[in-house]
Amino acid sequence: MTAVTTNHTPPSLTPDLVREDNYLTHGSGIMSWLFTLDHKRIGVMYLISVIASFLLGGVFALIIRTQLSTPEGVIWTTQLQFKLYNQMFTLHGAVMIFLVLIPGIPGALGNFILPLMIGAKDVAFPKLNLLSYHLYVIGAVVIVVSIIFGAVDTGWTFYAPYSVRTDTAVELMVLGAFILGFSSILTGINFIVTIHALRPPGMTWFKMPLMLWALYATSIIQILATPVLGITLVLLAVEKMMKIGIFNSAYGGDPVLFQHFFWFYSHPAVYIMILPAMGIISEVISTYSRKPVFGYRFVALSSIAIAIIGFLVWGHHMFPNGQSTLLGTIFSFMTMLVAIPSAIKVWNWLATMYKGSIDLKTPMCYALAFLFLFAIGGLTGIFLGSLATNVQLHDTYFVVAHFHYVMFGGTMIGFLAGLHHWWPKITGRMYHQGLGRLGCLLVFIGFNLTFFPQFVMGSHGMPRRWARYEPEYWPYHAASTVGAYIQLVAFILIAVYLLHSLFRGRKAPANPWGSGTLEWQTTSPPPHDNFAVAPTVDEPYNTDNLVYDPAIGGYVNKPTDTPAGPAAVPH
Amino acid sequence: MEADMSNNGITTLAQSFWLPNQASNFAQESDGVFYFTLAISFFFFAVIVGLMLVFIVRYRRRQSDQRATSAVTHNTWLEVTWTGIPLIIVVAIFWMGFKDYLNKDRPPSNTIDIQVTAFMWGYNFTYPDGAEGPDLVVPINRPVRLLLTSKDVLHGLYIPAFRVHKNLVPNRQTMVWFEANKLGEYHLFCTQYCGNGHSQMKAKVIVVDAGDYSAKLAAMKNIFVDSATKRALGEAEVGQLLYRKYGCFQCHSVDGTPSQGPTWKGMYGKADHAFTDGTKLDQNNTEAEWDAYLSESILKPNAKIVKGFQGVMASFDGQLSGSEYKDRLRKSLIAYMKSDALRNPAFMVATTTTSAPAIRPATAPTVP
Repeated sequence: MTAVTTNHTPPSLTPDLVREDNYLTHGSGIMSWLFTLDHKRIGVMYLISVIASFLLGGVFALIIRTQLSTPEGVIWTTQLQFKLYNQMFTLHGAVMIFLVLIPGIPGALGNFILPLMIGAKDVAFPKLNLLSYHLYVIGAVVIVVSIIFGAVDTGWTFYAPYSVRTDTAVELMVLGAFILGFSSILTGINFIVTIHALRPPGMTWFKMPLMLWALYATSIIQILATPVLGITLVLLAVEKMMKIGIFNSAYGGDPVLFQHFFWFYSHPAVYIMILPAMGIISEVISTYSRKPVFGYRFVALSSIAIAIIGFLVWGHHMFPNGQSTLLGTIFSFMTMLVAIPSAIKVWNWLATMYKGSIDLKTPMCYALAFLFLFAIGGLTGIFLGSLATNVQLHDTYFVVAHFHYVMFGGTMIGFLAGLHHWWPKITGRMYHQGLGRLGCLLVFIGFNLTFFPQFVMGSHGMPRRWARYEPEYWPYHAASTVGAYIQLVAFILIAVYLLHSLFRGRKAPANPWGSGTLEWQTTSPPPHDNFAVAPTVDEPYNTDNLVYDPAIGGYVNKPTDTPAGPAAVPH
Repeated sequence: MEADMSNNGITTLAQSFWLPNQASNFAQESDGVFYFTLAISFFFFAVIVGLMLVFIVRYRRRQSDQRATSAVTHNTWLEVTWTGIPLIIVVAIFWMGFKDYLNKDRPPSNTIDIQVTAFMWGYNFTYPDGAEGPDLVVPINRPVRLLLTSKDVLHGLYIPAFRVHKNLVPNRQTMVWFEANKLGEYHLFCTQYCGNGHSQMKAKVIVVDAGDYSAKLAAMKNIFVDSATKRALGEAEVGQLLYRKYGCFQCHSVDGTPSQGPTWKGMYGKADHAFTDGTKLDQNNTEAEWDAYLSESILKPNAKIVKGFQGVMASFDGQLSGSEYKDRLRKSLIAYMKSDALRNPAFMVATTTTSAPAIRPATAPTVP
């Protein structure tokens, strides 16, 4: 369908008119949601599920931090009781990684935004999209049910031989992860085909928003890496059930082989987690600086570079396991290289802000928090990638701090930025900016207090996955626990004002933030088939045509004096 | 140099805000790489956050129609520069790390070799002259090589003060070497998650003068003579020391507290000590039968599993058997279990045992 350019704001975009037909009101009843083919409804269901999983994983985290408030343990003090602690950190990791971080941004935000960003009615395969969500739910249920049958106590990494020897329900939990893997793979396929096939005329590869480059790179990793995890988990379950020796040394198997197979997926997996967040940051910084992203090509290609190089570094999780020095050396070198594309993005985001027009709305506050926290997370990755320092830091709290800075300070902060940025589009409501910024500040303070001390105790030798610890590490743990409880307050605040917004928030205009991408050229919330009027395709971050209209509290296309007619052909 | 006695003898002096005491030949070079990386990190972090803060103040949107004041969308030279400089820096850090690592991988030829076997949940260090013990004793300023393996699952061996760290893998041998250069006692931790006892799996590294070293090893070989006072120790006294040294305390309490293994309080000569295979021992069995049962359980823990417990105990075959001395160690453990303080008071034993010895079990250290 060719793009039609107009020179005035079409009546369908004014929010004063009561919009009867938006995607939320189009069809009612639980079945119209559970069996919907609308990518927007699927996105909303993912959003609810991911948030619920985050709260569950967060409860486990608070229990862990409470236990570690004193050296001999607050909740559990004997070796027998430590099994519960071990189950707690396993569940925390598994829920956060498999139910929140991997599916989170692609499922909850990507699903909603991607078709809108390319002016399309839906993704390429809507039924496959629904199947992805159903598989997510089934996988999540299996994981939760496994708790009843003996919550796994191996750590989310399932290392053999311990995972083969333990009497907990490893087979059931890996089955859940296996099912979730398919959810991930199918989403990846869907997004790749959508981006290839459904872009409108005029939106070439280097004219699409950077969020799409990020989702594309993520999808490539999803389809190539996840099958390896699937097979590995199947082998683990079979070995446990049939008592054979693939990884189990008791039957002649090789525990290190498990680590190679596991990390071949799980390292690229962390890039599945961070790339979409980086895509969001590109969109947010550009919008709230009112400037196109600087160095578009380098940023776009850096996402692809991260995806490719990310497959070549998995051995840095395995430096002390006795593998050959040559192998360690190669992995260390490649790990250093993978840092560079991320650094490129950070410089480009800063350059985008330079001489921009910066508005510190809540999403922008989260984007700035991202720059701060991801910088720390990324830089501390260098300590871990260098062989000498890795010896001192491997399997200590330094690693725990590093990955929380990139996964939580990176991915989750990016998720929160995206949630607040697209909230009006998704819900049709505005939220309270002051509370939004306060929530961001509290999360930021609580987060740093929780995790920065962990770097220091880690470099001092505090091992990870310990339920109790030597007294000299106590001050760090105490500070860390206080930070965790500050974060609890922060997330309660965020939940309160977002819920308030759902019921009492001001109705949102089509383009509250003055962003130049296509999703803002339809109403908030969008109609069932996304665009009442086909959007104009232009440079991805061009906001020259937008002016603020105080009457509606949002941005509209600049009205001109010339009568309606075809304007310049989109270039 | 006096060891810091505030933490059960472990030296807790820190080298800096970031790193513990430097106590080995590797520490200085390793720390050099750490501090270099830290300096680079601080610099770039300051640049990133500094620019960010300057920009959000300087380019703040003051009116709603304020536009960006630059339409520049890329600058190839700038982008190549800010790609190239970090690349050179990270490759330099790689190189520094690699060289230090090679050093750690290549022990000299004159090392003292100590075999280390990890198990759930402790370590057994075997010295060249046959002495064995659960702690690592090394002489100062002599290269020491540890040959590492595991009896069951993956474990870790991490000595923070030495900057030494390696996994212990079943059916494989891994290696670390070092030269301790400061007297004192240091932590050794298990860092590879291995089950319930992971957070209690640790050992002491005791660095002594070269002259004292052979005496220490000899003392390890004869635990029946107290190395400080030269007093001969009774069997139950030695048994109580072994209860700590070999890690029995991790699963067996001596005060009745339920744990992963049966409590020793009142166990010896118990009225109804039932096993999962349907058999049992009780007060009608003889002392010899009780002794035999305990002896077998130490070496073959799964032969008789007490009802209500699982077969997770590691075997001490080889550590408490295989030589006359080790057989005597095992006998001492049993002597402790049947001492007046622990056994079922209603059960009479003929063999005399010294009642609860003067040495009190170490209590958990209080926070300094």
